Amino acid sequence: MSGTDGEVGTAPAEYAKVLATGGPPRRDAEFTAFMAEHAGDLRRTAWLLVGDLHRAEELTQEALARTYASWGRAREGDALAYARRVLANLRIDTWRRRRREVLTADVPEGSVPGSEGRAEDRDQLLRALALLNAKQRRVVVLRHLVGLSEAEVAADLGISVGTVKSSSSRALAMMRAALLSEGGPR
Amino acid sequence: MTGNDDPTLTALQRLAAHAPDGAWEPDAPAVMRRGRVLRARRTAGAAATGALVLALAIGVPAGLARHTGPEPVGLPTTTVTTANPTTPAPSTPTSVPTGALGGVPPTTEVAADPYGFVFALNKPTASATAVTANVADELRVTVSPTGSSSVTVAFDASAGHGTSSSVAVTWTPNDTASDYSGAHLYPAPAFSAPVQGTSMWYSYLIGTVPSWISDPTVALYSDYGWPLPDGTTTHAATVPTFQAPTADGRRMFVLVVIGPGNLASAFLSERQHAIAFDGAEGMYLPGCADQTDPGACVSLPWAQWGTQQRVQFVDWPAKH
Repeated sequence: MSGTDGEVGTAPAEYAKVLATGGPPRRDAEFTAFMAEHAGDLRRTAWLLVGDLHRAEELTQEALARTYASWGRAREGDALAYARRVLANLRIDTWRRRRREVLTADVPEGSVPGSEGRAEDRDQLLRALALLNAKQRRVVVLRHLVGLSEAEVAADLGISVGTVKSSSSRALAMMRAALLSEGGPR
Repeated sequence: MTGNDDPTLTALQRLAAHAPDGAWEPDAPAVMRRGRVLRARRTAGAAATGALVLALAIGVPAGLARHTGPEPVGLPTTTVTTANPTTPAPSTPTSVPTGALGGVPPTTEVAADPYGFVFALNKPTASATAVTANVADELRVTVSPTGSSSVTVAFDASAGHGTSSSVAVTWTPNDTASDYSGAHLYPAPAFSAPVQGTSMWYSYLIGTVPSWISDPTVALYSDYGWPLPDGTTTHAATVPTFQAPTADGRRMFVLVVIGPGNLASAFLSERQHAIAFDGAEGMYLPGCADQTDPGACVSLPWAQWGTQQRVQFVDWPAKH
């Protein structure tokens, strides 16, 4: 008998399949259905928060995993709101800087007449969003892009309604100034 | 969306309209696997130290006492060696083979939110040299031959920051039921090992299939249970077996429980589980003091357990 030191280095010949007991329980069936219905919405919100599709998908998967980890609690209320709250409170600081490249990769539009202008429009807006700090960006995205009420945003982010209002106001002012400096929103 | 004539808000709403839309399928197995790990670790972190100590004080020794007692010369011998937790675990590839899947948590009838997972190795075809599997991205199991009727089962837990361990399993070819009577119990080694820095534990249950039983079905009976589609719970599961990478090709099984220490240890505790071999020659329960009386092996009346619908170890989550 020996410890593992001499064992682990041995090159394995074949992999066995690892199986798990039972079929998907009700909890998993519910969550799978939830994912199928809402993953796209959550990814969309994540993209607005971070401006990069790859990062957005990572964040969404993490938010879904955390939601699944607390599915019993999440499903008692509005599970989508729960997942969105988890998503919004993940780290979104790593805003990707190469925005134009990302956008081009996300939504190929080269053959669509006028698409250059729309891409420029989005690029300009995303640059303006990138100027905001994480909290301001969360507020702007949830309040003005996802369309939540101030009270809902406050609940999602764990801040007061007054903070939502002030953060939103400051954030919009910053964005307005940024957009104006680039010739104004199109 | 909030209605507003502010051109900035209008522009933002246009941005929202341009956000990536349409169907997107996350990696559901990965999501749920990570969710289970998060859940288990959160639970483990919240668990009271006293509960863990209690589980260790009662569960592990009981499990070890049951399965790793002295074996007579000439009969199957089992030795469990657990690496020193302070010894750095060896590095190991962390890639996951195709087909390595997450687990379904075992439930209890009193706890609606289970935290542990049971996995089994499955290798339908014979392996010439060694059988390896990765469990839940954090544990690597390797079954290597050490003789014509012996293997070492190594559990490399370094990827999951757990304590690596291994067990030697030796058996007697062509043995008979009469070889295992009195204190000479049929061996089914079971032991637990911690995950460093958390209250998570791995529990292992390894065994061989008796040679005198023709093509038996191996069943695991557990005080924990598994949910059925109709909402009820069963306490029985059919365990997959695989052919040992040895000359005699004895059939084996390897079960891994991942969960908080109290759950993982309790899973192996005395009378909390039983392995049964069900073949043409009848049912045989190794490790029981009185192998003719299943009631002596488990805490629930056998009449209740023995009639349970057996769930299968399956690929999971199911492919959609």
